[in-house]
Amino acid sequence: MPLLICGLLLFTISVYGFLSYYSLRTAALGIGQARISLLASQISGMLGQQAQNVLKTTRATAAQKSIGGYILTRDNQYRSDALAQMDKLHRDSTWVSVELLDTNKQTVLRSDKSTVRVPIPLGKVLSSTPVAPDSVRIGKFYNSNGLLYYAIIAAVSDKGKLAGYLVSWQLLHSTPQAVAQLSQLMGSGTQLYLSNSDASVWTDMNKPVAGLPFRAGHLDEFIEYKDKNGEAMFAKAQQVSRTPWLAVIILPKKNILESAQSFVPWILLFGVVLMAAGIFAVSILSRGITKPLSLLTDAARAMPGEQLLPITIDIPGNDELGELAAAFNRMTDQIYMMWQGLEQKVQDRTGQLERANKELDAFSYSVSHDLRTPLRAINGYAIMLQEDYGMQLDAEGNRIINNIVTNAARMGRLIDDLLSFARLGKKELVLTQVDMQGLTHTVVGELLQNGNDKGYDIQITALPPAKADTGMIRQVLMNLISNAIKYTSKKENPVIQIGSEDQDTHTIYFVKDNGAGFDMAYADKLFGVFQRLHSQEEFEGTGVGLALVKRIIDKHHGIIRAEGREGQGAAFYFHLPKKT
Amino acid sequence: MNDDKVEILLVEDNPHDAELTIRALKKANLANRLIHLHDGAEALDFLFAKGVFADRDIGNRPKVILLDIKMPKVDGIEVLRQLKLDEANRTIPVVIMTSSKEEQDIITSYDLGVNSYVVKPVDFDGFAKAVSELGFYWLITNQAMD
Repeated sequence: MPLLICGLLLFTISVYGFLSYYSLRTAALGIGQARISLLASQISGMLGQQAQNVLKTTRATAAQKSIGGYILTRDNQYRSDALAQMDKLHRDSTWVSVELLDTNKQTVLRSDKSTVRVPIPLGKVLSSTPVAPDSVRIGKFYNSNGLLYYAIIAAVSDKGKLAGYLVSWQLLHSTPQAVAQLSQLMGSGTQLYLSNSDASVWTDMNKPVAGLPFRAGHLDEFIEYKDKNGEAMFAKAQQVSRTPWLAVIILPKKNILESAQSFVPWILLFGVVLMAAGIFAVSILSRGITKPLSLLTDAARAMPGEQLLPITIDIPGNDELGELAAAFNRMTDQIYMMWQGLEQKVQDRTGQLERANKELDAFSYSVSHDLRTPLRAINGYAIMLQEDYGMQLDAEGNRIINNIVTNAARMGRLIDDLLSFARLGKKELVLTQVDMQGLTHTVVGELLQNGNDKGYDIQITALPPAKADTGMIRQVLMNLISNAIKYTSKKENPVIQIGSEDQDTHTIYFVKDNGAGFDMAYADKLFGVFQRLHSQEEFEGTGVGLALVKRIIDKHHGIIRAEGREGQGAAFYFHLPKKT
Repeated sequence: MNDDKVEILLVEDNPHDAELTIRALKKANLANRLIHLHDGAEALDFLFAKGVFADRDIGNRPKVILLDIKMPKVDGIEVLRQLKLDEANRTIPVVIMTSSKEEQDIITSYDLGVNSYVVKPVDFDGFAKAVSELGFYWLITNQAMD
C-alpha cells in the first residue's frame, strides 16, 4: 500500500515536471517570437527613418536650380554649382558615386568625389525602379564582387515634367564594431540580416550571405530552420518602409529556451521536495490506515475460531476507519448474541430430545413389562387349563387351547423383537476388530445346536476381519444364517454358503442359500419392519429380523442388498467399509 | 401359614404371575414353605419384622427371596438395596424375577449384589422350567450360610 502511493507520487511528480517544463518552454518560445517581432519592427523602423533622411537630402539636392538648369541647358553657368551640390552628397565613405542623368538615362555630369565606378548598368536600375517627377526612391541591393550597392534615385523635374535623374550609389557596409554594438543592443545571439523584398540578395550588413528559407509570398511569417552548423534558429522578416528591403531578425532557439531550461533544476528540486513530503504523508497515513486495518484483519481472523467471546477492536475517531471499526464491533456483538441464542436453542432442543428419549425408554419399559405380563397369564392359564382339564375336553377344545398358547407365545416374540429393534436406535456403536471367521463358526454352531440339525451343508469360506460392533454384527450373522436355515428347512439338500468378496474400500460378506427364495419384485419389502414375504404357516417369523439387520448395517455406514428367485434360493450381501 | 420355617419368600404384586410361579414350584414340590407378599413395603416389613409382622421372629429368614421389580409402593430394586445393606439379611440369596429386559435394571441389580436375575418367559413351559430350576438350585443345591 505505501509502495503503491509512493509510485503514484513519483508518477504525478514526473507528469508535473514534464508539464511544467513543457508550458515554460511554450511560454519562452512565445516570448522569444514576440521579442523577434518587436526587434524586427524596431530595426525596420530605424532603417526606414535613416532611409527617409537620405531620401530627403537627395531630393533636396535634385530640386536645386543649377541641377535642373544643367540637365536642360548643359550651360556651363550651372555646371560648377551643380557639381558643388552633388559633391555635398558625399557625406561619408559609403557614398561612393553621384551622377546626373538625362531622360535617355545617359550620364551628363559626374561628381568628382565619385571614387568608384559601380559596375551596374544604371539603365537596368532605373527601369526596375521607376521614379515619378518630383519624387525619390531607394533601389534594391546589388551584389558586385562581394560588395553590396544600392541606388538612391531622385527625379529632376522641370515644370512638372521629368527632366532627368540624380542617382547616388551607396555601399552597404558596417564596421564589425557597429554590428557588434547593434547585436548587443538587440540582445545576445541576435543577428540582423537585410535582403531585397524579392529575396534576391541577402546580407549580414557587411557581406553577402546565403538566403534564409522563407516561403515565397509569405515573408512576414516566422520561420524555424537549421543553420549551417545544424543549430535551430528562429527568424522573422519585416519590410523596411520606403525601401524594397527586408530587415530580418535571427535568434538561436537555444537562447530562447535557455530561460525555460534554467528552471529545470528548480522543477526537479521542487519535485524532490514534494516527493519527500509525499512519502512523509504516506508514512503518517499508512500508520493511520494500515494499523487499524491490520487490527481489523486480525479480529476478523479470530472470529470463526474457538473464541466465542464478543470480539471488539478499539479504533477511535469519526473517520471511515472509525466507522468501520464501530460497524465491525456491532457485527461481532450481533454474531455473539446470535450464537448465544443458537446455543440456547441447541440446549432447548437437546432437552426436548432427552425428554423424548426418556419417554421412549419409559414406553419400552412399559411395553416390555406390562404387555408381557398378561400374555404370560394367558399362556399360563391356557396351559393350566390343558393340564388340569385337558382330559375332560374333546380334541377341538384342546386344539383351541393350543392355538391360544402358540399365539400368546408368538406375541411374546413379537414384543421381544420389537423391543430389541427399538433399543438398537439409541445404542452406541463400539467398533473393534471383529474376527468374522470365528464369529460365524460360533453362530452356526449355536444355531445347529438348537435342534434342527438335519444335514445342513454349511460352507464357510475365508472371512476377513471387520471393523464393527461385535454384538451387533453377531446379531446380523445370527439373523441371516438363522433365516437361511429356516428357509432351507423344507429342502432335500439344504446348502448354505457364507463367504466374502474383497473390494477397494469395502468388504462384502454374503450368506447364500438354496431355500425358498423370494420374488425380486418384492425385494424392497424385505427390510421393512413387520414385512414378510411368507405366511406364518409356511415359515414362522415376526418380520423384524431383516429390519434389524438393515438398521445395524446402516449404523455401520454399510449397504445391505438381497438377491433371490422364488423356490431357488436367496442371497444376502452386506458391505462393510474398511475404514470408518 | 406356618412361618416358623420359611423357605421361599415370593414378592410379587401380580396375582397371576404369583399363581403361575407357585404352581411351577408346587409341581417340583418346592412350594411347601412359601410365603407370598404383594409389594416391596410388605416385604421390608416382613424381613425387618415391622408393622403387621412386628411379632415375627426376625431370625427366621427365608432360604431364597424371589423378587419382582415393578411393584407398587416400594419396588424390588429398593427392597434389594435395603436388604443388601443390612448385616443380618445380606446373605439371603435374592433372585430378581421380572418381565423387563431393561439393561439398567440388570446392571443396578448386580451392582446391589443380586444372586440371580431371571427374565420371566411368556410361554408357561419355559417359565415353569425356569422357576423350578431356580427353586432346586437355591433350596437344594446351594449350600446356604446357616
